[in-house]
Amino acid sequence: MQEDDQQRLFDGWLQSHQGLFFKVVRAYAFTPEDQEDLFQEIATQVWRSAAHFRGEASATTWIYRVALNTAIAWTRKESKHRHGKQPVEGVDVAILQASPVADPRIEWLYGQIRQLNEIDRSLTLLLLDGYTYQEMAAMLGITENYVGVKINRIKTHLTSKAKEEVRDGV
Amino acid sequence: MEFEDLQAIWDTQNDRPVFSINDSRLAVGLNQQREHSRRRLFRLLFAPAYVVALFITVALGFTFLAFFVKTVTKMRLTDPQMSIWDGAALMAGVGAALAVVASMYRERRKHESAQNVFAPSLREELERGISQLDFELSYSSKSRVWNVPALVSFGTGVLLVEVGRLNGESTPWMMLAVAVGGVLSSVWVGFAAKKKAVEQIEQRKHALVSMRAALDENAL
Repeated sequence: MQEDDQQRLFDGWLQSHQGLFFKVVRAYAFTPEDQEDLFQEIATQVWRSAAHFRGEASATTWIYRVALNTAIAWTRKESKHRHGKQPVEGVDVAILQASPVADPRIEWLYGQIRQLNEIDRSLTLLLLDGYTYQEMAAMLGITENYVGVKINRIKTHLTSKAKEEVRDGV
Repeated sequence: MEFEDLQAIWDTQNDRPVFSINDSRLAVGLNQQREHSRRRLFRLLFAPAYVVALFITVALGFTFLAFFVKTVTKMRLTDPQMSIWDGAALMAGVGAALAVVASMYRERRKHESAQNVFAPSLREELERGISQLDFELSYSSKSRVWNVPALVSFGTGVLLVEVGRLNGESTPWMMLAVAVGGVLSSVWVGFAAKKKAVEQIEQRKHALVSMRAALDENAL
């Protein structure tokens, strides 16, 4: 693939799948600086991967796979280097500025997702976005059975937390 | 509450973007980043080059003067006397050192005159940022990585050889070997540093080019 085609493909993806990028970033990075850092990391990896995209999977699935695997690797790397981390430059914060009218229910949901381990976070995002067990297993390189077990636990966990919230009147 | 309810809440994100771009804040951030790049480039590349060139020029000037006086006054006749070739070599050394900084000075001045113009919009700030990165990339080109250390090392080499001759050694091979070693090692260091620098600059440029493309599409 020519670099121009790769660039065009990536620009198109960035435009049409912005929401996907942001969902993954919000689930894996908590501070604006980290969110921007991860956003750039994902964007770079997706751009690199665009050269290898053959259209065998849908673009959404492809981007999700790259984004989630990048986010998982980033989380592992970040937890190792967390103490020495410097904030990134000023430009970074501007890109991922949370909307002032963010839905508190969505915020709560992201808060719950962030408390899960990195694989469970990926599974939760994919589950909420309507992917099948087979697709999730293929994207994350795990077995369908394992996905099934994990998803049941995640559903139970999230539903019980939501019920607690409702019961407490939040 | 059932899981389907959570999914319905999740899906509301698709109706309304959760994130948005703050154009003015982004422009300020880009501007700060560009200023930082300009200062860093001056500190790490231009200022040291100017200082080294000045040092070489002054040292070659003193050597020329000392060698000339020593020859004219016929001091220590057993030592090598200053020949026309010594004079030419010293001039060439000064020329090499000055050629490097003169072209760097000219290019930087031209670049800075464009960079110093106030960028009133995000698009212009992006253009300036890309131009700054292109300028940085030009100093990592293959010809630059060869030319700059080679010319500076040539100036240093001439200085070392002529100082050797001034001190009574007719053919200072050791000094010459040091000069050649200096050229090779500085080019090697230049190439080693180039690859990583280019990769980082390309990544930053890619981010800016993507933002500009998104701005063209009115997507962000």
